[in-house]
Amino acid sequence: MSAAGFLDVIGDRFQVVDEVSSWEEAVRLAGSMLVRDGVVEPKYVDKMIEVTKELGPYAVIAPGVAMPHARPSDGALKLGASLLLVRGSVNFGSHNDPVRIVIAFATPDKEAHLQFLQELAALLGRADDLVKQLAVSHSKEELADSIRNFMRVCREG
Amino acid sequence: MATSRLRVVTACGLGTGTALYLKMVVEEILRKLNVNASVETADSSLAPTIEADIIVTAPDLAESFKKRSRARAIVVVENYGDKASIEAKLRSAIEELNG
Repeated sequence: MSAAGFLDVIGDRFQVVDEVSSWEEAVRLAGSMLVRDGVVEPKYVDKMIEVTKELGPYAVIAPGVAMPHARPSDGALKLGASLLLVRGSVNFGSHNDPVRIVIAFATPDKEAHLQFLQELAALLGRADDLVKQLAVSHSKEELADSIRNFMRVCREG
Repeated sequence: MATSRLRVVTACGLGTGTALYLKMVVEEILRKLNVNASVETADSSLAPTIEADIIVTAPDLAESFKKRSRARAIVVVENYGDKASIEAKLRSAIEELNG
């Protein structure tokens, strides 16, 4: 099992945008960071959108936070994620709208990302605070700093 | 709490990301409650065919499972970060199954 934590899995795939025209655009932006770094094939991004249309907006897993993903067989090449902040928020049609944090996620292996999920669980346990704290970031550097600080506070209880 | 081993299924559309996430959270809660259970993941087509005691899933999938699932109980999770609410719902589902 890989010991890659939340921040290792994201690497430097952070992005901040003011607005998007649709949830599809948000998923595409988050997904394109994965394509750029060779984490997924381009078709994986289309699949994330397809899956959300087919199966409903269940990818919005906590208030303000979406984690779109597709199947490992849809072109996931390695374990990786990206974090997009939409400052103006976007609706997915979910009870957890409006969404500001979009975490695109890919894994080629069902079991390789336990630590990532554990740290994600700790973050989602404070989803309201997380979204509030990250939402004021203006750049990818600020966003990366904010999440590092938030995780430190989470760990310290 | 329960005497026989409970079969719990965590389900999402694909059976990977969010189902695995829920499996991890549910296992942690059941350990804490001292419930003897097996927890497995399933996608939205497999999940309703399993003779599970409890299916744990998101609201949009729960709606369709309610009509055709073979499970004895369905626990609906709106906020995956809210462990306290997931624990309360699991606890009452288990009590109902045992009662």
